[in-house]
Amino acid sequence: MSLFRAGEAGAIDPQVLEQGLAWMVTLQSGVCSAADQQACLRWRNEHPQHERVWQRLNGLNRDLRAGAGAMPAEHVRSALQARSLATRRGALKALVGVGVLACGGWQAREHQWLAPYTSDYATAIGERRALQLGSHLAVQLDTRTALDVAPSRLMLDGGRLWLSFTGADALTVRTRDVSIELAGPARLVVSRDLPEQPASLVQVLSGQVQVTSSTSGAVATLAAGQGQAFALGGSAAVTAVNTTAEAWTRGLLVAERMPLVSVARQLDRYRRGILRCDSSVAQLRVSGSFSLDNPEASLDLLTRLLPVKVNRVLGYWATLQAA
Amino acid sequence: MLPSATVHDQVKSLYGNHHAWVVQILRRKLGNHHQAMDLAQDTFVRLLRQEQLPTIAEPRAYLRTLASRLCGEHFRRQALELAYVRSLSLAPAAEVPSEETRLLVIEALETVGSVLDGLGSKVREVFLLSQLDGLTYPQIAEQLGLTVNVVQKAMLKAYRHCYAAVYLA
Repeated sequence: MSLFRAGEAGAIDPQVLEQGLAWMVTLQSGVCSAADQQACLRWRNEHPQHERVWQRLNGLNRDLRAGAGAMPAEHVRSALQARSLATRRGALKALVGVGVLACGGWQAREHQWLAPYTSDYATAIGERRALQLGSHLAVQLDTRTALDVAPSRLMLDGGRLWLSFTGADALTVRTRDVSIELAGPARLVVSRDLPEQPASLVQVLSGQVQVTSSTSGAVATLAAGQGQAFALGGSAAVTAVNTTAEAWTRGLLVAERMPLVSVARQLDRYRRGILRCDSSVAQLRVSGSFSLDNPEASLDLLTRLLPVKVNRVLGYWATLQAA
Repeated sequence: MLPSATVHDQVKSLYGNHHAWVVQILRRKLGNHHQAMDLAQDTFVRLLRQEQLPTIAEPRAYLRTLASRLCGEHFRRQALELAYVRSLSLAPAAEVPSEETRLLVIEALETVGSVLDGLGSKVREVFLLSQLDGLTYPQIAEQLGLTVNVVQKAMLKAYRHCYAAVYLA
């Protein structure tokens, strides 16, 4: 979507602009007469410059509605208001200013996008962080991961978490979709809202855990080497855990005949900006190990493995295309 | 679009001499090292995008201004994202859009917001009531306790402002 692009060039006489503005304001009143509309049409036909300024003004209307049309008007208004109130004091304070946190904050807390601002631990784009939480629990947070920590309870708000528990007491790990109970030593990977996977995925690498679907309430036991996905609709069948499930903790993406588009979606999470894959090359298969810590190098590697090139715009927007 | 050789060299030297300092001032503003690193990066990328740089007598003053501006943009965008997330949290779960859609919507709202930047709050409210809610001028006048004439003048001001922001920038 490209909004408010200036479009074709061409100088407009300031006087013509004023006339055009007056006509636009008249026609937008909601109460203008058929005679007004006719007169405006006549004005537009009088001179190519008239029509040009009219089209530009109309473009403003169109882009404003296209830009704001995705949400109910009152939400657009409060979003724009919050935006304009934000100063160097910071966004959160601006929001308090319009009373947003006061009335909707706790609901928003459930939502993944707010997580980075409210969670106890949150990783930035491309960041991986290892934490020791007490003497028996080591965790690692993947890129864009948000984790809340309470005594003997972890809540993964989004992203991916590796954890190794060596204690003998109980530990609960939750996402919105599933509750995982550990009753003894176990090592597992829990992820939520990753590309190409259902809402939450639990992968047990060692030990065993009990999982309870938040929606269906179904309880199951997962042993080492087993994984299960959970979504709003309930749980999926138990699957085998791939040996590469932990590779990301070492900063690696291991692809085995993986479609290029899937590789791109993974790398996209580690990279600032947006990475897209052109549909003409999306299904090319690629095998290899790619660095997650250096996604730009991984992109360059892809261009050597496959007949593709990377089209970078300002460094941040990158598209994989046929070479 | 590749930056020209001279801009590239200039930015390289600015980067070498002042990058750590820019990170430091951004860190004070943002209170977060990673975000400070990100925005410092953006600051220099912004410079690279210029076709040519002005003669910079006081590099740190120049960089501070640029970094502060980016910081403001960052805060505005963050506020927008939070407000958007909040409106999503009130929507039924089935209607939660994909991350790509969210990104596009925020991008679009950000663009709309930046075009409206600089409008007084009353003019802006009149304009949004007309454009978003589709109210007629008499309805807006009634809602805000204004005369239709004042509403009309506000609309004129808003259109003139948006036109200038998009076509005369």
